[in-house]
Amino acid sequence: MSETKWLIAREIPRLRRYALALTGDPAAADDLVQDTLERAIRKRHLWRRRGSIRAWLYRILYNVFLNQAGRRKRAQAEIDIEAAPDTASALNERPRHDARLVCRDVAEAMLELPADQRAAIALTAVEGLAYDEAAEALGVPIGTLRSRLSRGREQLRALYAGEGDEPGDEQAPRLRRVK
Amino acid sequence: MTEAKRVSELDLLAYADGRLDDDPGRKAAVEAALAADPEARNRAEAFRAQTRALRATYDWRLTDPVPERLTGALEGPRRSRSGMALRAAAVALLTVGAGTAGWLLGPEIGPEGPGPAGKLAELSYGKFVAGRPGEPATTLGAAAGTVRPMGWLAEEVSMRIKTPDLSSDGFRLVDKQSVTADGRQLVRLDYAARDGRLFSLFLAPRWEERQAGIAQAERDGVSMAYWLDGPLASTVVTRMPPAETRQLAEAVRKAMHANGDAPVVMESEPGGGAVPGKGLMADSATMPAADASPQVPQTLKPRQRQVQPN
Repeated sequence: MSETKWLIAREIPRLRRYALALTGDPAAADDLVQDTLERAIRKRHLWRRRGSIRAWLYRILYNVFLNQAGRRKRAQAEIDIEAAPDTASALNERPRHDARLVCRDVAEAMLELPADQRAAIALTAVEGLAYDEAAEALGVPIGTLRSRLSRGREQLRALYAGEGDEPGDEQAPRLRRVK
Repeated sequence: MTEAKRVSELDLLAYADGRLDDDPGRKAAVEAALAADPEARNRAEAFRAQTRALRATYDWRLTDPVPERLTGALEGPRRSRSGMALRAAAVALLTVGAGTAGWLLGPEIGPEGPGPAGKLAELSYGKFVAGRPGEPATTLGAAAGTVRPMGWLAEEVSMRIKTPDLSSDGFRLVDKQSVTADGRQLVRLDYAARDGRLFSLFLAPRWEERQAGIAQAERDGVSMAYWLDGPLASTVVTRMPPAETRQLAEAVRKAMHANGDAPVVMESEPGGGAVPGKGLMADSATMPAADASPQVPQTLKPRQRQVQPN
């Protein structure tokens, strides 16, 4: 195995975690990682060792993810509609909460976010990239990253009721319908 | 509030992500500012809680054994995928004939005589060679007095059925017909790719119980792959090579099972791309506009295995 392949192989677990945060689905995440790895191997001559290979791989993965977004959206749209009634009734049993707005776990809340915000949060909060590295991985200026992080975090705050942060009395006014 | 204003958004985010832990001076300044601003403090605490929850949610992936297909991706050509396997350019490597039920069909249909799917394949063959995909329909709706072939089929089998969306595989629906063969009514869906490849998918209510599994047959350059699913019998008919036919059949079958065990979930408009629908039959008189589907909060979604949209 060449040195570059070896370096790439070391990043697979992190890529899988990042892909999981983006897709919310383990199988789809591995497909995304597989596409990323195949593209990275084909394009490895383009990595000029100027930056970290991790950021380069994250960037490829995000681009592949975006390229697939349209088709993924179509598939999800169908499933939403089929599933809505039962799930909605179950959620409506929760007292005090706006059932449509409060997610049961943070992974669901992540999937509510626009992809660019989700990616920004995943790279910084989950992958632990520095802000300049995350901006590089997303191909945006750091100001854009800050904006995405800020908006994404706020939206996540509205959507996700974490431990000790029940969206009851004082949190309720912040809840809002997404899209 | 004066202090709070000195906490930049990046400071707040960095504090929440624990990035100031190795910068005690800055961290202390941020904490002092937060102490004077309850709202900022609440935000910071909420962000910290998010970070903890996110890591707890996704970190298991780091120690999860890496599938061989991922390490293999570093070495060579594409291995199997968890989602839909077909890619427009991917042909080859599949064996001809062996379905999961163990059928192995030769050039003629059915070693034991045509079963329900084999019978459909036989009828489909006749219809396929009589009218190539893309040619004007000659039997549209006439046989059963319906112009809603998928609606008719759905009523026959008592389940929701829509046309499979194969746009991610490079095919789009170009025609949809009701046809009759040997006194039986079938639904014929014609698909075409930009590169000229064509195939037809024939659907019919199954006529008897029989084991499932994709079987194949070939005759005079026409390749067929057929199978049974619940109350449906399905056949893909094309002049593409058997291996590619097999891949297509698997793609169609998976598209029809895109939501676990549920029946077909995608619908497409002939001549256009896939259209997210609201439970309307694919051949409803009025198709919903792409932007007409309601915005259903994702919180209402079940977890699902993604249909690989490649």
